[in-house]
Amino acid sequence: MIQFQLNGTLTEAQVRSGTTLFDFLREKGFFSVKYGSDKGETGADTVLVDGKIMNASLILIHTLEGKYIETVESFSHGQDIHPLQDAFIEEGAIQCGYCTPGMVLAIESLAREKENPTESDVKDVLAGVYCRCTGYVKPVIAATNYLTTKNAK
Amino acid sequence: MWYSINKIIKPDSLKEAYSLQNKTRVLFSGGSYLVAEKNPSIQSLIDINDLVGHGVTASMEGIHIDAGATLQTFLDTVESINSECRLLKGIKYSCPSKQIRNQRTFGGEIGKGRPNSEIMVFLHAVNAELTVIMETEKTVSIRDWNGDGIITKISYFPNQIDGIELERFSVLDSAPALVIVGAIKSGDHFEFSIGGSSGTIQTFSCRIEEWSENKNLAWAKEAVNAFVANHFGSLEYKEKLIATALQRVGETL
Ligand code: FES
Repeated sequence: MIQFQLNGTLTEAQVRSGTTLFDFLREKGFFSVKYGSDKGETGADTVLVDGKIMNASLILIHTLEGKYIETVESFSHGQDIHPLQDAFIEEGAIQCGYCTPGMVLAIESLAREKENPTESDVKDVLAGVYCRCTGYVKPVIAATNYLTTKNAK
Repeated sequence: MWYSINKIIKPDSLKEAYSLQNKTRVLFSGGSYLVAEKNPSIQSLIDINDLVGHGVTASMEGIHIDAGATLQTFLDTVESINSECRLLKGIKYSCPSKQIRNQRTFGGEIGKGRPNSEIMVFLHAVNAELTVIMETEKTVSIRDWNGDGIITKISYFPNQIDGIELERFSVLDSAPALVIVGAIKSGDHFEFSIGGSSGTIQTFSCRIEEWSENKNLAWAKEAVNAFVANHFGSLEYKEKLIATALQRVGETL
């Protein structure tokens, strides 16, 4: 049995050896983590593991003992949403929304890692998330707006 | 779900891990290649994550990368010390996704041995030294490594090299490279490593005074035999790309 923190809750996983974090999260109803491919090519399955972005489809559950996992479900409580999600809505940086949780987690990880991230840092973290709709211009603007406001505080 | 996996083995030592390997039991570290492929003939994973180091040390005498260090750890460690390091660029081309860079280890990248990896071509160009565990520990040049043993450390020595260059050609910047050429200038000679959509990475060297456009053309003609013609281009086209890349890196050095 493996134990880890999932969005702040101590979670136990008793699963088959080849189970991925993606399988586990979908099974438990964390539907912000989306299927893109089994190879991590799309980033729709992005999660935070100890604050770092990773592809849930490429992580076997047994490697997660003692780790801290976050999905976008932990970013909002009802109508009360994260300022980064607000920035995406304000900018209209969402179309179908399939990639949005991955983008939000990628940008949030950058905000935590770097004090003054540049636009090239933003593009670098978004490179691992495929968006078929927006063409990235608006997500980059939304991210920059969020990071600028956050750093001004 | 990787359905064929029924056991995760945690050995006590790397020597034990080495002896446990067979066709159905394979080494597991970062797992980004293995889990993506989900080879159904693999039944057990020998998890060596707790047995290998995960750091990168960069000093005047050399760069030492633990086999368990992720590609992102290298970027985070070296970017602030030497932003001109060609391997930084190589890593971003080879693996544009930060998600995967946070998981993929250097040991895994070398174990996979993709000829179209900028990281591999770079490490061949600088002739990186691998520390490998088998029955005993030994060091071997990456160019001579036959794939046997567990890599624990990768080292190269920029202070013994006067210049390093990396050139690549791809359909798009974000697409896998058709041709990658890594080159070093060291003392009185050049060494060029050539990879890309080929079956292997090849290395050519000569004294600087012997280097010429004709030599490049001859090397390109020879190297292209390891390449494949496909919808991205004929062998004639790739031969020209190799020659151009050789010329560019040589002139820059
Ligand atoms: S908004 Fe549709 S995939 Fe990005």
